[in-house]
Amino acid sequence: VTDDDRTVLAAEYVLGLASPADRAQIERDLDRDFELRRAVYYWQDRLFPMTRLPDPADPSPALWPRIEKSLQPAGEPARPGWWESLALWRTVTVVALALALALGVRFLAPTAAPERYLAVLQNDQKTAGWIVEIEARGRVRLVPLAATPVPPQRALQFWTKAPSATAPTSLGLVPGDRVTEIPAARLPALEPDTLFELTLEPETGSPTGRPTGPILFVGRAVAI
Amino acid sequence: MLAFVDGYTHEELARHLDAPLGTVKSWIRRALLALRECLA
Repeated sequence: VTDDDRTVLAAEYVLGLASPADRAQIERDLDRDFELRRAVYYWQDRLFPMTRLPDPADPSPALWPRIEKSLQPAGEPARPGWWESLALWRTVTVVALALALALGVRFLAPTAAPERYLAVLQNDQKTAGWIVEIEARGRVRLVPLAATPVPPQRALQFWTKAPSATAPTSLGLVPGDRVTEIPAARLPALEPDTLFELTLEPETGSPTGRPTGPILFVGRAVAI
Repeated sequence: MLAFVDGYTHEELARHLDAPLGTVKSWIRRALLALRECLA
């Protein structure tokens, strides 16, 4: 079993993708496979902070009656476990959204050029806040996972810097709460590990053409 | 996305997307490894 295999297996288990048979096998292996246990903890730890991103939602009034109706008659004791935690499933939802964005790129345009990039921008707490999708022809979509508040007289400015570039290039000011699409012409040459970041700048943008304010979110592009 | 949120397994996902099981598994594998790299 390679490291990648173990990573994928653990993620599938944490996300609830594994079939019942696979899940049972993984749960048996967890007892004696230290590396697998570490991989499972890795995904649980990494995904947990994202539970803070979505706004809380109230369930519909019809939910409880539906759950009660679907409950087994008494006799089979409940089996409590971490997979029944609300926080976990909130996490799964957010991560699923991120995965879906990545996969969606493939499903929606399977005939386009295969080389695409994805970057997850994280804040200094390592919490993911934005996703950058980059098509091979250079068009960029900047997608917020949650709204970023922008103080008055300030603006969010979006930057990119390829490993071979000497300085960041501005991709313009962006709203903190909406998807922004940036045309291909604005984007310099795209390479793996290209950095994307959002900084807080004066209302009209950085006066120097370089980032001047604090970096709120940063991440690097990986090919998908 | 609904497939993931609804908690489908690989097999259910493949049926839902009308794609071969192996293809779905490889899509998910690639996405998860990319995600791990992004989160590194």
